[in-house]
Amino acid sequence: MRMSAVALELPRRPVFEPRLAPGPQPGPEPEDPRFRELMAWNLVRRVPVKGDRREHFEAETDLWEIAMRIAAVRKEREIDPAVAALRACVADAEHDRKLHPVAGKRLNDMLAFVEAMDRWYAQMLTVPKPKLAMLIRLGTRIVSLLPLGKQK
Amino acid sequence: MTEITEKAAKLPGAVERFVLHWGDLGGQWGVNRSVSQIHALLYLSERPLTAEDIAATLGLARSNVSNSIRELMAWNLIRRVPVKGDRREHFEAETDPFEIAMRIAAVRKEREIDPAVAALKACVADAERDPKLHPVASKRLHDMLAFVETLDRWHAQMLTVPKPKLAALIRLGTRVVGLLSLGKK
Repeated sequence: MRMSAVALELPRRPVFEPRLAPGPQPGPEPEDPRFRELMAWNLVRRVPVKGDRREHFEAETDLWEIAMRIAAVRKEREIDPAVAALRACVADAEHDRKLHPVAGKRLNDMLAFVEAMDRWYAQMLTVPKPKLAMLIRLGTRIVSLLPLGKQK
Repeated sequence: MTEITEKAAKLPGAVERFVLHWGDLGGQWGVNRSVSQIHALLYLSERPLTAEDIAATLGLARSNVSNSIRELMAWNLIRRVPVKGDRREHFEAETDPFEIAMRIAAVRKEREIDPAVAALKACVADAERDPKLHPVASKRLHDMLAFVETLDRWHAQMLTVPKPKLAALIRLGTRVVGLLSLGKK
């Protein structure tokens, strides 16, 4: 999968064979699981090429788009199941009399934290790209812009 | 062996569920299942545990537990603690979720982002001496490197922000965008 991702990122026209060739290129077999994976990540799309009836593919080349799409899929595959699992554990903990109160508290703390991060992550994925780019450029200087009331 | 099953059976349901889930998630995150199960067990444990306790509770081989403990120490997620009147080594987990997340982020950066940046730099260096490379491909390699380096710098910087400030930023969410206009000179 990694190879085909790279192969399509560099080409200038759609690729047929997964290699470092420029542009939309006739793709590998669309049934190829690695390829389906790239389509599922929304990193590669089909493009029609005039005078060629074979399927051609090209990669998204906007780096912000690539990063945000990867982030969205990782959230779905890694963070969402974590949140769901933690919620189930906390629900269990509520009627588990054998559970030590310390363990109960830690489960609650972890869920609260993961939910806060998850909310933040989901929110940040909605910020327009130029604003996100500004935030990234600003780096730690953003901290000095935090409302004064919040400072300790 | 009987002792293992007896002890394993004693684990409260919610703890067992958390340990199993965390182990599974570890797999998704690229961490060995035993490592993440041991982490989960120590995270919920109200007292420090020995390697024997861990092996017996989770039904894992001692050698596996020792290796996993070493791995968790390398991630800085657990530490050795002395226990009065007991000369065996005991371990406890970091319990502040924020600390846990920041330490995992630091190790993931080292293992995933740093090698990616190094590989991209090597590609860009290669590209400069490759006359067969299409200029579009070369430009995209350069753009990718610049982008990854920017994000990497940002990530490294954010790991240095004190926790209460980071927590304030997280709470702010998208409202942080409103602060940007203040930042403009």
